[in-house]
Amino acid sequence: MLLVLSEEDHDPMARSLTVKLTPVDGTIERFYAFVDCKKRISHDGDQERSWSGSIDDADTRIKVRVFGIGNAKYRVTVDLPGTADDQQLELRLDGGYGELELRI
Amino acid sequence: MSVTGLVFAWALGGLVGANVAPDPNNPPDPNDPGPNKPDPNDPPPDPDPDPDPDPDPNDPPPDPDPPPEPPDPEPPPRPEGLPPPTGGGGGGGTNEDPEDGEGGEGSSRKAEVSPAPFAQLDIADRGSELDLGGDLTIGPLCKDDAPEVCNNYRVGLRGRLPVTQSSASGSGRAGIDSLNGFSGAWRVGGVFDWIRDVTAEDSASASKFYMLSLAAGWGVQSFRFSPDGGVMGPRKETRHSIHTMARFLAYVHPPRKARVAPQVIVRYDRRWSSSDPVGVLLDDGDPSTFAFTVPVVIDGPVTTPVFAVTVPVLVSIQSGKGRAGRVLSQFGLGPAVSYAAAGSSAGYTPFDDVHMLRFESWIYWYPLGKAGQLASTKPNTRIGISPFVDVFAAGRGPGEPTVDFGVLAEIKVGVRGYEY
Repeated sequence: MLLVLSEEDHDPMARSLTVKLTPVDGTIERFYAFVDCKKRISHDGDQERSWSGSIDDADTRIKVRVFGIGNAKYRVTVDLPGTADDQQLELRLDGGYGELELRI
Repeated sequence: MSVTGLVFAWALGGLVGANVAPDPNNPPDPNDPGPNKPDPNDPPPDPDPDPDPDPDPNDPPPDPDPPPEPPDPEPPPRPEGLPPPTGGGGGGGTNEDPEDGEGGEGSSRKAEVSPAPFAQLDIADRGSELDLGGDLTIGPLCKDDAPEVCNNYRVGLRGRLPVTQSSASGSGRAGIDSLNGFSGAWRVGGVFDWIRDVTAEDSASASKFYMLSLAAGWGVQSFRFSPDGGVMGPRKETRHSIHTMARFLAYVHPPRKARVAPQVIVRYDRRWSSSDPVGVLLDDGDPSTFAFTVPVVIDGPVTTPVFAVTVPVLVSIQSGKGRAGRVLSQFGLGPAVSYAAAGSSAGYTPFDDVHMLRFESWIYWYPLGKAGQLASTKPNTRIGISPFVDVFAAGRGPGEPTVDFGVLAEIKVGVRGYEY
């Protein structure tokens, strides 16, 4: 699943990005978040996990992979100050697996 | 794309579109593969976004309705303290972030520390204990040449408080209590985990990691006993108990297939407990009154060193189809076999008395909804039940059965569902 978060052009500067992954319901076992192919979150899913950092102004890809049990629910929060403030979405696993890809 | 994904695209896109106006002074990103974007192989587009590159000077001024979209008066503020990027970025993942950014390139080596308190009630047989503790997780620390290989570390403190005890102090059930993980008295200790995660970004690849855990606990107790049967008053002795544990765990979970988590747990306990009380006859010599006995501990405290190895394999099938598959995916299985040896003396050798085997067959339920959020807001609840069989291979006492049966149960909140 590929989502284009913003196609707009930006000032050629680094941007601040925060990605949060939160267990909501059921059992989440592993949270992963890759930002431009770099593994930024690699933790157990028993509590909220987050990563904050600066990303290049050019196209940046965020990929979230979640492993758990059955139809457990988790929340993805993306915060790109000034562009996408605290965008949240709650998703359910399908067969113990969930995946989301963003391009910002 | 799933329906959920479509909703997310709409929600995010709508909000972003409402908050950000296009900046006519910046050209479109040639790397963006969106359908409205130019081919990345094309030369960069004209930075002038004017749709009419050769306006006719005789043309009237643009129609004010709709008004031209004004340039963004306030471009997104640049984060303070962040130097300009040095890399090309883009979707290829070659973003070279500044070293001093909170999560830049250099952050893959930084130790990101986060706390995690927890509480847990263990129930086994007629005993129960309350576990309290908290962890500090450090990482992930990834390798530059192999970005999918990351190390995580966890350091935690633990406290255990007995609520009810399943066996009398000093009985020969020390091996069973050790297998249950029970100390019978308060303990404090620490844990250290090293997790090596090799999960790749590829959608078809499995989540895969290995974990090595070390734990140790300590407690001190004072025991009172009366060698003379209570004539001169009790004596008091203080003893220190220890508990150690090592665990190796492997976790493999291909997307939408069976999750398997085999593990090996090795424990060594040396805990002191009070000797069993005996009945002491109290007779005042008056034949007109009754003589009676009172329970008195006449022997000093005893210790039973225990060595135990447990091999559980936690499995959860996530590949089921239809309603039955959905129901099945909320359950898990945990067959386990254990060996325990207990010593009889006050020494440190655990192999000179009892040898026993235990077989367990856990069925885990990972509930959703309200049942999955015990403590109102805490997900990751696991409810387990298991019959067990204890087989005393050697060293059983007179009158003790060779085989013993029972049931174990657990309710864990905020648990790592793959751990035994």
